Amino acid sequence: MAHLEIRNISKSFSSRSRPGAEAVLRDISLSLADGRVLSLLGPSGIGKTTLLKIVCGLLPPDEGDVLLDGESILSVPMERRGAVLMFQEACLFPHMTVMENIAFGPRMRGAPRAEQRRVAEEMLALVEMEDSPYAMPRELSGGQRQRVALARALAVRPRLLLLDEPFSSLDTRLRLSMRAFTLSLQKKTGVTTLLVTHDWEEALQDSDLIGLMLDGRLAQWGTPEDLFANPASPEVANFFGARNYFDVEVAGGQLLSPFGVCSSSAPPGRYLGMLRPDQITIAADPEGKWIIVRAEYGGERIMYRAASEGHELHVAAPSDPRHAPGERVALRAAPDRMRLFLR
Amino acid sequence: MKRGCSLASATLFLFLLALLLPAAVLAVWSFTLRWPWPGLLPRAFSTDQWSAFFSLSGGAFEIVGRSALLAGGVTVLSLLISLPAAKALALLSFPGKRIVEMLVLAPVLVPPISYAPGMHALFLRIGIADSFTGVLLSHLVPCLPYGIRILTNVFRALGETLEIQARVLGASPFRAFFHITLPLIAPGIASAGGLLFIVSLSQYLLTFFLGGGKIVTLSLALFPLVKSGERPAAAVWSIVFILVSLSFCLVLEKGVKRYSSSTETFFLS
Repeated sequence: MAHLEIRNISKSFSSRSRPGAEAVLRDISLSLADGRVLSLLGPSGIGKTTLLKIVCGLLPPDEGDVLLDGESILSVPMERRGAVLMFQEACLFPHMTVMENIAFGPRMRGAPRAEQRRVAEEMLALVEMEDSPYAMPRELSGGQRQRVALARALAVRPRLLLLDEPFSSLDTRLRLSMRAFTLSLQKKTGVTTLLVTHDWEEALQDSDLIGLMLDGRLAQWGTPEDLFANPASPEVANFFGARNYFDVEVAGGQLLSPFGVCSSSAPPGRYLGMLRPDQITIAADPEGKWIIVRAEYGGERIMYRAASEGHELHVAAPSDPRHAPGERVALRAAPDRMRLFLR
Repeated sequence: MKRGCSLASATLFLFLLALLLPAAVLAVWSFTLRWPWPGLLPRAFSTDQWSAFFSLSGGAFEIVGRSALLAGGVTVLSLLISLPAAKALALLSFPGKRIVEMLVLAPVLVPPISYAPGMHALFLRIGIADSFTGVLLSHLVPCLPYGIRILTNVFRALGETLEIQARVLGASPFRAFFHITLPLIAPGIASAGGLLFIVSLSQYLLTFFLGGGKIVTLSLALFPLVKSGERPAAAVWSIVFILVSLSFCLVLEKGVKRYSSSTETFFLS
């Protein structure tokens, strides 16, 4: 267990199809306190996995440093870093039993046989797999395999656990339960965890910290509340489901927006205002200036699209009362809740 | 379904027939004294050929032993060279990889007669011509392409994820290979080994050239008999040839099975 610090990491790859080095990671810096969970969030293929590989030692960075408890680990070979990477698939060793898989780490460290066995049994109990210690991986279900993989990773008492899109090979329900299970184990063992995901809702629920990566850069990092409520840029806000933008102006301590006027402490100027779909309320109004263009039913909520004078807004509203496309409505929002971005 | 089944069994039957019929004919020939044309069966039988083979003065056992030693040595050496080469070709990317892959296959495309004399001249200069070592080294030329080719596919099929997983769990590169990769590719190594053994065992030209006719192997013993039409004697040597390569493959298969089932089961005791 350890405090992780990533300092100014850059990495570029060159390939034959794309000559010239292509920057995958640009100047990434992060730090993660002992025992915490950080989600690396971002669209697919923007270098999240590359960063994970650099931390665990599979790839060297072009620039920058990775520190565990204040010491650089870049020169430490990957088998001695104590950073255990788990892939999307369980990747169990197919020729070994469950017990042997779990005992592999302690065995490679030269632990005596009795100790290997004790650790393996303890881990089996931890992941609630005591029933099948001698099963072969091919005899296990997908969820069981993931649990064994988790036990195998925890058996080396890692200082750092690296999860690359964990459980994305499982179906949704199993994935949710494995996620909850993994997080409860993380709390129990207190292992510092770095986790790669592209699902922002999962990241918000699971993490102590989120690092959002866009285009090889760390667009913003902080607590989930921070990223959700105070996005640093429209791009960050977009990633967390923001849709509604409009021009607003601040002048003389007043904020002028399509949703009315309120006092504002922001310096005067022109801004881009953003409201999340659930920050706008909708009400039937025959005189209203908005017309419902589309209504997508989503169970508890309906996503409406409302248009007015070439402008379109997304509104998430309770599914009762329901408004039909073509209906005139009035949209209301509190202008002081609006997030402002400098233009 | 049923038709597919019967088609499959018919194919299997034909296949076995094609394999077994020539062997059966060989067996009959090896016991033949006289077999004048156009008789369906030999006119007279004898066990002379077999007793000549087994008579210690004929040196047959020495030839069989030498052949097995040579082919076995070539197999082991080829595998040792092919394993790292195949792993690199399968899992690394480096400039010129395509060209290397093509060059690796080249020796199969070039007939031995075109390079055997040159090789002999070279071996004469460095003093290993007409020796067991020289013949063994020369057999690497036709063997390595097969070894590297087969093992490249084996490594490619396995991928490197499991080995990486072993590394992050604390295994050194060598132990990750030894504990994870090796047991998993053992069946592939066995089939490559069987083929390499047979390729080496069948080398006539290279053995003749580089051994200067002094290193007599099964191929070298068999060839003059076939050429001079001594069919009963040739049949005996052919059968021995088949038995040697067959038993090597069987031993290899058995050994691999035992190895893959015994390596990682220490917790079951």
